[in-house]
Amino acid sequence: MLVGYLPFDTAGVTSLRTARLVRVLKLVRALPKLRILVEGLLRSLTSIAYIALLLLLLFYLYAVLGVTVFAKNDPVHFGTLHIALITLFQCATLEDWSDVMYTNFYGCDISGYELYMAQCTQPRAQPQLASVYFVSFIVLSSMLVLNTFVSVITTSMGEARRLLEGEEEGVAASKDDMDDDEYLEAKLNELTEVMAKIADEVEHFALLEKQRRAKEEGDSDSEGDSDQEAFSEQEQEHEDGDGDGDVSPWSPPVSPAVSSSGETRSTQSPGGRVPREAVGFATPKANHATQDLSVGHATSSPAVASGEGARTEASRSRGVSMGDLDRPSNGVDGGSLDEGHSHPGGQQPNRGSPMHRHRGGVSGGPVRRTSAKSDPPPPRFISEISEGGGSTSSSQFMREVLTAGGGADGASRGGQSASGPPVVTTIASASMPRSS
Amino acid sequence: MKLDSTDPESAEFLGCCRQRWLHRLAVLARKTRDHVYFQTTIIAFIVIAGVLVGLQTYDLEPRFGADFVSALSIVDQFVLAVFAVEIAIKVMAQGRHPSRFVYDPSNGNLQAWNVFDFIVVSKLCRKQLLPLVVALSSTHIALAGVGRLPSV
Repeated sequence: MLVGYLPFDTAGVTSLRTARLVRVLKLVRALPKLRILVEGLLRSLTSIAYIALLLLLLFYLYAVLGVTVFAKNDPVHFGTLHIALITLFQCATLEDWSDVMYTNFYGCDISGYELYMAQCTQPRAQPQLASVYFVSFIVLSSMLVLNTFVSVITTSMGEARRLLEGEEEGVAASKDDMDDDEYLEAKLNELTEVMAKIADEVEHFALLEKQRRAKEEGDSDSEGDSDQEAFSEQEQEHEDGDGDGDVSPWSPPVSPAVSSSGETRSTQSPGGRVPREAVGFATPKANHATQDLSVGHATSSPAVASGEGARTEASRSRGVSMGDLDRPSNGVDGGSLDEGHSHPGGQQPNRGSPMHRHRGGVSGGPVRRTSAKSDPPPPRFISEISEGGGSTSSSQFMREVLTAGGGADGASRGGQSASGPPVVTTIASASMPRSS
Repeated sequence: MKLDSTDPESAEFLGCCRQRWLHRLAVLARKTRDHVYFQTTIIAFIVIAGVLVGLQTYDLEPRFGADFVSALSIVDQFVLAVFAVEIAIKVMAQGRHPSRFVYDPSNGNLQAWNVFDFIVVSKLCRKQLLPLVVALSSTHIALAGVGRLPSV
């Protein structure tokens, strides 16, 4: 029932079946020689179209001319434009063209109209016109233009043959190309592996660093002997990283700390335990701050020298930073320290604001640490390490850390002496309860 | 011709009689002639003319009526006028040397198509456009009240 509503009657279905025969054309793909033929034909299609246009113009011209000249004498062949076109096509194929010519040559009453003499109403012999017209038309259309068809098809056929033969050769050639491609691919894979290895290593390194930092943190968290050990450790490191301070751009303010830190420690050790305790008193976050201060020193050197080497320098220069941190604990050159920190702090105008200090001292560290903890894609990781943490630029990070250091300084200074500004004291008192 | 030696712009000066406006006219004509729209329009009109010629081989009057035939003839005359204007522009573009429209001594080429166009269009103009112009002018004159046709 449904089939009855489909737009196919039985004849349509049959024609569809016939259309399925078009699949026979798939033979063209199977037979290479046939394929050459068909490809040549298809290739010559555009040229054929232009030749057909030229032929059409010629036919049109001659048809109009023929209608105007021969219509009265020969209405059967040149009665109207379309009939004239058909007649001209017949002439172009050299089919009985001489009969048509002679009809117009001698007039319809003499030649050609024996079968339909009734239509020969106005016989008129035009020998010169007819001969010129037909001869020129035969020469132009049949001998030139139609043969152009043949030549175009032949040419494109040869082209197709050459191309197909080239394709067969190209199959062999493409194998070499494939080898080339495979080689390139292998090389690419190799490089990718290397990249992955590098990324793994960097990640591993970051993990180690994190663990170490966590360990240090734990050390500094636990007060007393462990703290002492950590400190001595840092002292040792500081000895290693002695010359480092000279490289960093803000070395002048640091280097006095480096040179004096040893004495600082010595003079401090008897009675100057307080500032050290003050640092110890500070919350773990504050400790982060101190750590970040050290990292800040580390990343201050990348400002000059970047890369992993800078990182190692950073770890070495930790001692310097700790000494730097300790220095205000003397309470002697706290002002100079402030100056020292404000030297690069020129990049940060509102460093003096209490809020900023507070933020730097407390939250600046953790932010940094989370950035170190997170697992970004390897390349970014590298850049982070070389640039010093998740901060966008080393200078910005430095500033961040410096604020943290300032906060820690403030805390320590506030713990020791009342000479610091009231703001700092509030920070110290704010951090004190948290530690308790 | 004397202008050639005196005028520093002789190479580009296309007008005659030291008239700047003639020069500008020639330059305008040259620009128009070389404009791509102009050439496209001319080709379009050539196609239209070809179709018109083909249509006029038929006996159209019994099937479409006399109005259609007269409309076709008007269109035909319009096309002819367009061709005449084209030839006029091409001649004006040559400036002081209208003969270069037919023959260009610089490259020695006989402008065969131009010659053909000129002959055909001038003949057709005399056949078709002149009676039209005369008829139009006569109606004009008649409307003006002169009432007397000038002998052509």
